[in-house]
Amino acid sequence: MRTLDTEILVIGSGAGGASTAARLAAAGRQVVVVEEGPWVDPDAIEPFSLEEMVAKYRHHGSSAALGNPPIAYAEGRCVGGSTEVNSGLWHRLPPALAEEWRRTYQIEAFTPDVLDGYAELIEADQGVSYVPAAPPTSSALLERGATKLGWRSVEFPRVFRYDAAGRGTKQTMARTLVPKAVAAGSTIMPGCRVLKLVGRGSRITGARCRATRPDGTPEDLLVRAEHVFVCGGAIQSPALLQRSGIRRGIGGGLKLHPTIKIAARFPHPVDHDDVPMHRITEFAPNLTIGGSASRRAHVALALADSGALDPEALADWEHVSVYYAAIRSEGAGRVVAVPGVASPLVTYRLTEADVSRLARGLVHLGEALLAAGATELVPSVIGAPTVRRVEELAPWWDAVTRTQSNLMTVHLTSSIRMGETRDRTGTDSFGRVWGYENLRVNDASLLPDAPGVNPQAAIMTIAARNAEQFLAST
Amino acid sequence: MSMLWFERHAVASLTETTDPEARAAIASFVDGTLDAMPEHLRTGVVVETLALTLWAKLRRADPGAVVSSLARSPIGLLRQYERLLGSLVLFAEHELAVDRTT
Amino acid sequence: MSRTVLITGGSGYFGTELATRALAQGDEVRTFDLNPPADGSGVEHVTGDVRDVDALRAACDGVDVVLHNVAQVPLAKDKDLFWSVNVLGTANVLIAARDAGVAKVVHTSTSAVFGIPESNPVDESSPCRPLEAYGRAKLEAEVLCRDAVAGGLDVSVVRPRTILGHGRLGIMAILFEFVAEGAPVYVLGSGDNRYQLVHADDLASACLLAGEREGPATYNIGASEFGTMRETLQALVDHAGTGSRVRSLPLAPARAAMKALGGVGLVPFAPYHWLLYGESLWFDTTKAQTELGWRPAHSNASMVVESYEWYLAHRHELAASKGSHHQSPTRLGALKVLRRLP
Repeated sequence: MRTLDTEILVIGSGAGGASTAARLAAAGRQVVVVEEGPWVDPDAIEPFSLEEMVAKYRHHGSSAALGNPPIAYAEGRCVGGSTEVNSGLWHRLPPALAEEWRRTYQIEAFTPDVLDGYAELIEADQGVSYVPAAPPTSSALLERGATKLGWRSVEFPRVFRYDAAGRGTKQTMARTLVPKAVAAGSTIMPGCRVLKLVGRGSRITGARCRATRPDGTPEDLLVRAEHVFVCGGAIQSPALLQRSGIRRGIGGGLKLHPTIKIAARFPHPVDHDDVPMHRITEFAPNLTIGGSASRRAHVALALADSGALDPEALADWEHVSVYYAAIRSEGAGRVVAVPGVASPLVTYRLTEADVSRLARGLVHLGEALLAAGATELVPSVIGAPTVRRVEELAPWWDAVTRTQSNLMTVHLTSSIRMGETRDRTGTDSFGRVWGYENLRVNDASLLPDAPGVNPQAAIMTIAARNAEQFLAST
Repeated sequence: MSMLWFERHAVASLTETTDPEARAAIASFVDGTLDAMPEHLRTGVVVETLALTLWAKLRRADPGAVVSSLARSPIGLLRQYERLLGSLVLFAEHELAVDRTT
Repeated sequence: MSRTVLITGGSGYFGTELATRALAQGDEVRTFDLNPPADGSGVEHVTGDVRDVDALRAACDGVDVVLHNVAQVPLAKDKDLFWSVNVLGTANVLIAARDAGVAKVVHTSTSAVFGIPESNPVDESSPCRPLEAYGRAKLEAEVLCRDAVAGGLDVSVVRPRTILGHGRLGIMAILFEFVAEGAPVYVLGSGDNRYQLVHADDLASACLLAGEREGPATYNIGASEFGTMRETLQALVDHAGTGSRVRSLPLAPARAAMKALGGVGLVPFAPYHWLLYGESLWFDTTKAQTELGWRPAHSNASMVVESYEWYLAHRHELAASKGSHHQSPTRLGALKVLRRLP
C-alpha cells in the first residue's frame, strides 16, 4: 500500500473542508485535502441540469432519509462539495440563534461579535453581493406577493461576483478557496475516498483511503497525518467516524429543513435561468418561503408531485415557477454506518408539530403566490386539490399528511454538534472530537441545530473560527 | 445495464419520446441513478421490483401499466416506487428535450 | 407603573374575570371581543374578530401585555371554527403583537392538548397527544407560540384544567340541574379517575403573574386539592342535601351513547367530553408555584359547591339568557331521560 505523510489531513473539500484547508495552508501548514468526488470544471456544466446531477451529486441526487414520511435529500460530491450545486444564498447565522446555541450547548467563544468578525472577513474575501440589476421575475413575484399581504420579505445576498456587464459568477469552493489552498502549497486529491481512520488510543495516525490513479485505476493509500479534520458534511462525517469505531455522540440528532413545494402558474412567462434571491421572512425563523430552480424538468417534476401529470399542463411551462416553504423541524434523525456497506443508513422522524408547520407553510406560500398574481397552484401533496382562489386553500390544511406529502431537503446539519455539554455533543467548542487529541470535525455536522436559513455562511464562519483556534493552539 | 427486466420495461413504457437516441439516453440515466442509489434504498427497490415482476407475470400485465397503476395506491411504498421511476424518467425526458422541439 | 393589558375574548366568561382582576390590580385594560362586555365600566373595548388581523393590529397599539383568551370551545364542535379561530386567530394575535412591539403575550391553552396521559401527574414536559379536534387545534396554537418565540416575541403559555367558578356553567349546568332536582348524577365507569378542576380566580392569577414574568415559559395550572370524579360529585350532593346520589354509568356503553347522541346533536356533548371525562388527568403545578409564586386558593370541592350555589341563585334568569357556550346553560336534549331514571 502506498503511503503519504503530511502534517494535516483534511477530508472533504466543501464549505467546511475548503475553509479549513485554505486557512491552515495560508498559515504555512502542510495540508493534504482528499475529496471523494471528482474535479469538475465549474464553468463546464450548466447549473441544476441533469448533467450536473450526474457529475456533482452523491447518488445522482437520489437519496432519502427513511421515516414516515421519507424525506428526499441531495448532497454535493465533487471538489467544492455542495457549494458547487447550491443557490449560493448567503445568510449570516442570526445572532439570537447563535446566542441560544451558545447557552444551550455551552459553546466557548461563540458570541455574535466573534462570529460576525469572521463572517465579515469571509464576505469581503469571497465576494458576497446583491444582484446589481433588477432581480429576476421569479424573485420579484415573491416580493410582490409578500408586499400585497403586508408580510416581510428580504432579498438575500449571494456568494456571487459580478463583472462590468452584470454577469454573475457563483464563488464556489472550486473557484475560490480550493485554488487558494493549492496556491499556498496544499495538495488536493480528487477521487479519493476515506474508508477508515486509523490510530492508537486517543491519537489518530492517519486514514486508509481508496484513491484513483491518474489513469483512472483504483489504488489503496494510507495517508499518515499529525492532525485530521473530517469535513464530509452532516451525513458522511458521522458515517466515517462510526466506521472508524468512534460512536459516542456521533450520528444522532441529525437536523434538516423539511421543504414542501408548489408549482405556480402565472398569466405571463417567468424567467427560469436563476433561482429567486428573495425570501418571505414574515414567519421566520421556523418557517420561511423561497423559490427553487425551475428549469423545464423541475417544473414537470413539481407538477407531477400532486399525483398525475396532465401533459397539457406543460404546454406553457415557461409560465410556471416552483416555490417552497421550509421549516425548522423539532424532529431529529440519525446517521448509522452499516458494516460492509458504503452508504450509511439515514433516518428522520418528523413530529406532529412539524407536519402542522408544513401545512401552514403550504397555505401561507399559496396565499403569497396568489397575491403575486398566480392563477393556478399545484402543491407537492398527493391528491391535494389544485387551487385558483384564496378561498380554496383551506382544504390544504387537512391534505398535508405524513402519507401524502412529498418532502425534500438540501440542508443537513447537526449530526455531531459542538459544545462543552458532553452528554449532548460529539466535539468540544472548536470541533475536537471528545476523547481524541488530534481529530477534529469542521463542517455542517457541528451546527447544534438547523439554522432555518441556507447554512453555508454558518458553516464557513464556524470553520474559519475553528481553524484559527487550531492555529493558535497547536 | 444493472436495471432488472421489469424496471427496463417500466422505464421504456413511461418514456414518451419516440426518438431512439433520446430513449437510450433516458434509460441510461435511470440505470446509472438506480446504480448510484444508497445500497439499502436500491435493495428495497429490487425487492419491490421482484414482487412486481411476479405480479406482472401472473397477471400477464405490462410492467408500464403495473407501475402507472401504483401512483394512487394506498400503500406508501408502492406509490414511492412509482414516484421514483416516474420522476427519474420525467426529469431525464425534459432535461434531454431542452434543445429539441416536441 | 401601570401597564396596558389587552384581553382578547374579554367579554367571555374567563375574559371578564381576567379584566376585573387586571383592573383591580391597577392595570389599564382594553378588551377585544366580538361582543361588547356586559359591564364595561373602566374598560376600553374594541369590537373585532380575531380572524381579522387589521382589527388586532389596531387593538395592539400601545399595549404592553396581551392576554389571549379567544377560543372556540369544545361544545362548538365545528372543526372549521376550531381552525380559523383557535389556530389562525392565534397566528393573527401573535403577528399583531410582534409588530406592535408588545412586551409579553400570555396564551391560554388547555389540558386537552395532553389527551389521555400515559401517566399522572402531567408536567410541562409531558408529551402532548391530543385526541380530538379541539385539543389538536389548541396544540397547533401552541406550536405557533413556539414559532413566535423563535421569532423574538416573548410568549408564555398557560394550560388550565377544566375551569369552574361562579357563572361558569356550560356542561356543568346539566349536573347542577340534576342535583337541584334530587335526581341521581352520573360518573363514567367507577368514577375513580382523578379529575382536577381549576377556579377562574386562580387561573386569572396565573395568567396575570405569567404576564409579569419576563421570558417565554409554559405553565400547567390546576387546583392543588382535588380528588376523584366521584369524590368531587359526592362533595356536591352532600352539600346540596337534595337526596341526589352519585351513580356509575358503565364506561364503554356510556361513551358510545354520548358519541352517538352527541354526534347527531341530541345531547350537548363533544368528543372532548366523552373521551376525557372518565379519565384521570391532573397537573403537577410545581413550576407555576416556584417560578410565578402562584398559589391556588380553591379546591375541587369548594369550587363545585360555590358554582352550585351561584347556579341556584341564578337558575331562573339563566333560562332566558344568551351568552357564550360556557356561560349559557346547555340544553339538556335527550339527557332528560337520565333525569327520570329512578
